[in-house]
Amino acid sequence: MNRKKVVVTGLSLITSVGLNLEDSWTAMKSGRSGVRRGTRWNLEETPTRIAAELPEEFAAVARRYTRARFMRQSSRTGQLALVLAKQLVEQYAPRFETLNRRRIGVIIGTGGSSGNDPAQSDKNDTWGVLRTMPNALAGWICIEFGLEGSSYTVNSACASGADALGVAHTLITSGRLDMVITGGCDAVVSESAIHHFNHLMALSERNDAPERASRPFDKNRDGFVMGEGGALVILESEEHALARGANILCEHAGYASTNEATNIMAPREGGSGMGYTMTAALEDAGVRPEEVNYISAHGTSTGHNDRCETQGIKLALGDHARKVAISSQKSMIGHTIGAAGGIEFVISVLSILHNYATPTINYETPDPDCDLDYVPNVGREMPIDVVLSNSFGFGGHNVSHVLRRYSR
Amino acid sequence: MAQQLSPEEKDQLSTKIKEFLADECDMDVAEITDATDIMEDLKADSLVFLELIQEIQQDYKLDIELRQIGKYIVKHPVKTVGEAVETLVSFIERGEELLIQLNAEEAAARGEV
Repeated sequence: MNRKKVVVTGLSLITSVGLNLEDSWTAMKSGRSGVRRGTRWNLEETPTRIAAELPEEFAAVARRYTRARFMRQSSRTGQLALVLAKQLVEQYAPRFETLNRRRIGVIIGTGGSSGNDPAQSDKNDTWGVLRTMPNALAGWICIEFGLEGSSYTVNSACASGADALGVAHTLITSGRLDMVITGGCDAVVSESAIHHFNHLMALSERNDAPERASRPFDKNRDGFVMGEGGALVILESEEHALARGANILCEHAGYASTNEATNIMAPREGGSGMGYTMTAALEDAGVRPEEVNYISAHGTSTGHNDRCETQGIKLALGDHARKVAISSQKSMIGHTIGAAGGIEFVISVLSILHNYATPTINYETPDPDCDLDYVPNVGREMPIDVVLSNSFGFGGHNVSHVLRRYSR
Repeated sequence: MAQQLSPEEKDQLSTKIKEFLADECDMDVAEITDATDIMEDLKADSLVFLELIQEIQQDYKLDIELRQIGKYIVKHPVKTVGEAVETLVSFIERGEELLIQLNAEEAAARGEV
């Protein structure tokens, strides 16, 4: 079967450091942290009292883009998804009215933040069902733009956004769809979520220095910081993009999605599961390991992940692992759970477009187990033609994407 | 308790309904007429009518369980703003009678008549 080439023709991004693509990118380039003292739960109740929440202005932005009725019927994550979709369409103007809407899909990754909505516990709430059904994220976007192709949400915990992008990629390479709006959205921060992750000893408790709490690959990392955010992209077949005269931002060359089949929480020691996933993604893309310039790491700031990911990178790239630049945006915007894969995919595209690797901030003390080039503290201008973007999730879900500078 | 609305009260109710829908659907109230299609033109959903009833329930002492009205609307769909006004006036003026009609229809559907 003739596999179609997939290209990226649109991006949108909302994080704790910016409520649109440009602001988020500018902040991350300069290494600004979005981690602050939490506001969305009773801080006295939890050991962790920090998070990378969306700025307070998000509510006003959401209201500006959506209707009052939608605001009541949707979760915070749903609002995030629709605002991202509207920003995407506003900036990249795909002119759906001229396209076959039955061949345009919406596939969104989310880690289940809809289930944290307070409406779930209010049995008298008229909109409890709409607010808590995770598929609403895709549904609202289809309704808004009249898109009639495949639409659903994907859940694989912290790899959800990355898996959604993978599903979208496959729907396009196979010829089932011409275009997909895809990515990840999550607004997980809530008292129950903080409690639950505290029970698992997964969160940083560096409450006295929020901006310095998320420190992937640093020896003194003590867990991840929970964040809110999302990112969407327009993926489409190259022929479709060229036919409609779209500006192609880069090629989505390939990906792999696997499972470690080992442990519900921890990655396999030695990084073999993660390494295999990276290798499979490179093979899918037809890219040799030495062609990779930059890796957008999963880099959560947990002891296990960062050590195993480093081992996995070494397995996948061999000697080239010591020459490649690696960074974790989670050092600045925390771990946005199901959104992370989408956000990091968008940052990967921007890295190629701007030849710029964002920094891993708060890198102070080298860890002998994490001994690669993590672009410490300061971003770097450098030639970037090929990026590997990693996402790993509880449940053993591993996903790696390969993005490449576009050429016909 | 049944009550009869004067023409002025019906106009007031119609205005209130249009203002509610304009607010809910981010529309200019001047654009909403009796012929406006609630789903097509206002892009509202099927539950907006029940919310409308909640909004006016207290003002008009409408003492009927919302679910019962919902069941009636399923059988007698409201498409336009004018139909919404008419249906609400009917419930305010003779709600109990409409519920008896609904029960009879349900019984008939179950083959009990």
